[in-house]
Amino acid sequence: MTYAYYPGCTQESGSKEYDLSLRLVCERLGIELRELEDWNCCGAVHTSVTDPLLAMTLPARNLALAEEQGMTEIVTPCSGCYKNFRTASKAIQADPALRQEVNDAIPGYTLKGDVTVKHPLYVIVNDYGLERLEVSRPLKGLRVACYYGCVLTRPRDEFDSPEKPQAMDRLMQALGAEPVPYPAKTKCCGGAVLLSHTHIAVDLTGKVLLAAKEAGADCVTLACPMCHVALDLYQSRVERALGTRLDLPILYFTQLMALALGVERHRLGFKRHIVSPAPLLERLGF
Amino acid sequence: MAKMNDFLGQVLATRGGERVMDCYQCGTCSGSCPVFTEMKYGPRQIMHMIHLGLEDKVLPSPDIWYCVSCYSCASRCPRGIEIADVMAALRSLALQKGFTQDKEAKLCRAFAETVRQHGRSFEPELLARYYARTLDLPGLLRQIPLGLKMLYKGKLPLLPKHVENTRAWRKIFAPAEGKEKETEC
Repeated sequence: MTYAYYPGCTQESGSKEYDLSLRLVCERLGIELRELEDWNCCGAVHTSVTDPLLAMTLPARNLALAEEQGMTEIVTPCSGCYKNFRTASKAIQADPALRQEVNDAIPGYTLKGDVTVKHPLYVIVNDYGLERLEVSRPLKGLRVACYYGCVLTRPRDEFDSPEKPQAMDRLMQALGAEPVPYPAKTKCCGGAVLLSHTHIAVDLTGKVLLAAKEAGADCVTLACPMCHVALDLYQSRVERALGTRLDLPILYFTQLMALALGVERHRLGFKRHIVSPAPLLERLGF
Repeated sequence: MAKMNDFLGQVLATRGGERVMDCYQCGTCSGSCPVFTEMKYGPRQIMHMIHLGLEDKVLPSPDIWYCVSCYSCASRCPRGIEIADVMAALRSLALQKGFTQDKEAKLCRAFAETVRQHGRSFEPELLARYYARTLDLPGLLRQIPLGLKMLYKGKLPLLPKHVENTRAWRKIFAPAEGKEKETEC
């Protein structure tokens, strides 16, 4: 199993622990991630506002690079990049005139449009298969709130339900953890307006964290660096706004997965978290 | 009358906006929108105002900049309209017509400039460009404790990463520069 790997900008800065743990998990499973050479930013939600064609051209340049580098499937761990890639890829595949327009706008690259875009969560759950996982250290006694957020499954992703997504819950069960039901797993954290309209993001993130806490979760697990910034870095702001202490560690699903597959804790970047997961990890015996 | 039709025509010509006329005003979008309570109109009324050609109400509205692009509206719309993309298209139109005052509008430009510069995002420069545009001193002061935490945890990069050929890269952005109206502030 070989995939082109598009890390995305945050995997080299804010969410290095996601990158580290994803690479380690894939190494254990024998999934080869070949980092795309000379990749560029996907544009997030902001860039294309200044010029709508950039919503197509910025992902398209990366897709063209993947084609050039002989790859047919591309994996990206950030939900935002994943959404931008699959939207651009589908639009370009469906519309030859748009493909031409995009190719004209990215001089030096010619996109055919036959690369499939995947998120690592669904590569692991669907392509690899949960039944093949060899869990050496089950996450016994861990009550975990699986947080999907918005654009991992929206709009209309074919891999999971946008209303009741299951993949992360099934994965956590397979690792021996207990996913807790709570009503906010597909609610948005507001990450897109975190800087510009902070009060909105703090309010939305607060609803997610509070729902997870009230459901009795020991931690939240997620699959997006932007959600991680909102839930982890801004948790102290949320606590101040709510007037309550939450102290909920926010862990990437790949970190929990790596632990269960026997990767040593010190290799997984837990010290980089703002809300320390150390007491929880010790309680679990890691 | 001509102006009203102009605005509807402009929205219909955007990616995502092609199907705004399919909206039958059920309100599922506003009922699903997590920031509806912050908005004056909400997505349903905005769709209606597009039908009516009320450009003067829609484009200056802060509502379009409060949208968090979560696609709850789009994924539930019984008519299959990409409402979140319509909101994004409205933000683009607003920028083109000089409505650049919202802090999110300034963030969009700061982000685009940073990405154009390097080919990758680079948070310290993004923050500098954003606060230089907004002059939001209280916001900046509140950001400092979080920035220090990020720095301490190694989450803020000190040097930008680049695509290999930045000169060729920036050509992707070239058409955008002429299109935007430079009437901000």
